[in-house]
Amino acid sequence: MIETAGPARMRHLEQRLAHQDHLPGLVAAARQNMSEPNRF
Amino acid sequence: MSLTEQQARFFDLFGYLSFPGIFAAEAGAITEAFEQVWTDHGGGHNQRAHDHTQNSALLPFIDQHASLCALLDDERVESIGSTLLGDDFNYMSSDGNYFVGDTVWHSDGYSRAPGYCSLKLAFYLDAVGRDSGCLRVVPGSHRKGDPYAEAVHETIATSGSNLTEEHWGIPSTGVPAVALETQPGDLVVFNHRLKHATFVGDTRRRMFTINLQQRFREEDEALLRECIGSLAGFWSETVYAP
Repeated sequence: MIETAGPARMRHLEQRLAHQDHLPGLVAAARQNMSEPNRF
Repeated sequence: MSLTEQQARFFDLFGYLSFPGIFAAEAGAITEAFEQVWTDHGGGHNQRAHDHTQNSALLPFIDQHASLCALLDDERVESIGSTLLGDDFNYMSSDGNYFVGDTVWHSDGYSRAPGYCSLKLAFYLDAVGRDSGCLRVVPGSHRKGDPYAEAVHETIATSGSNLTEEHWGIPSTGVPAVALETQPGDLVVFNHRLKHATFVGDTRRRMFTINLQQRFREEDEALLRECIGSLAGFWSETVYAP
C-alpha cells in the first residue's frame, strides 16, 4: 500500500501513518488476551 | 465519474448508496485478486483454512495485493470519498471476509469519533439476494442524535444485543429494511453508523470492504488515535501493510 503509493494516495494515508505509534503496544496486549484475531 | 447532488443528499439522509455494475468490467480480476490474497494467507482466518462454520476475516486486506491497492487510486473510489467526506479523506483500513450464515443487526461504531463521518465501500463477489446473504440496511438509522435513530439504536445497538422480540415483537429478520441485492461488480456504500445485517446465505460468501473517513482536525488527535487503536483486535501492528 505504501510502497506503491503516489502523492494522491499518500494524501489519504499520511494522517493515520503519523499517529499509529501506540498500535504495536495495543496489539501486544490483545495477543495476551485473545486466542485469535477478531472475526466480523 | 462524479456523484450527483441528489446522490450526496440521499446518502446524507438515508445513509447508503448503491452502484449497480460500477465495477462489472473488473469483477473477474478483482475476484481473482481476492482469492490470491486468501491463498497467500492460509486460505482462511488466522492463517488456517476456512472451515465454513465461522466467518474468516483478514485486515488490512486490499493492502495485500497491488491491484487491490490501486482501487484507492481509482477515480470511482476517489469520487465517492471526495464527495461524501472531502478531498482529503483518510483511508482507514479494509477487510476481506468469507461470511458464514447470519450477521445480525449492528452498526460499525455508532458512537465512535463523534462529529466525523466514516463509510464502507462493500464489494460483494457473489450474487446475493434478500434471503441469500445480501446486505439489509435500516435507512436513516445512522443519524446519531435523531430520535428515530436513537430509538432504533436502543433495540439493535450491537450484534450481541438485538432486542427485536422484546421491544418490537418481531424476529431480527422482520425489521423493516431495504435489501440491497447485488451481483459481482456492484458496489454498496454505507455510513458506518447505519444499522445493517445479513440473513441466511451460504458458508463462504466473499466480500471485502474499503473504509474511508473524514480527516481529523488537529485538536481531535485523541479521537484519531482511538480509532487507530480499534485495529488492535485484528492484531494489525501497523495501519497499513507495506
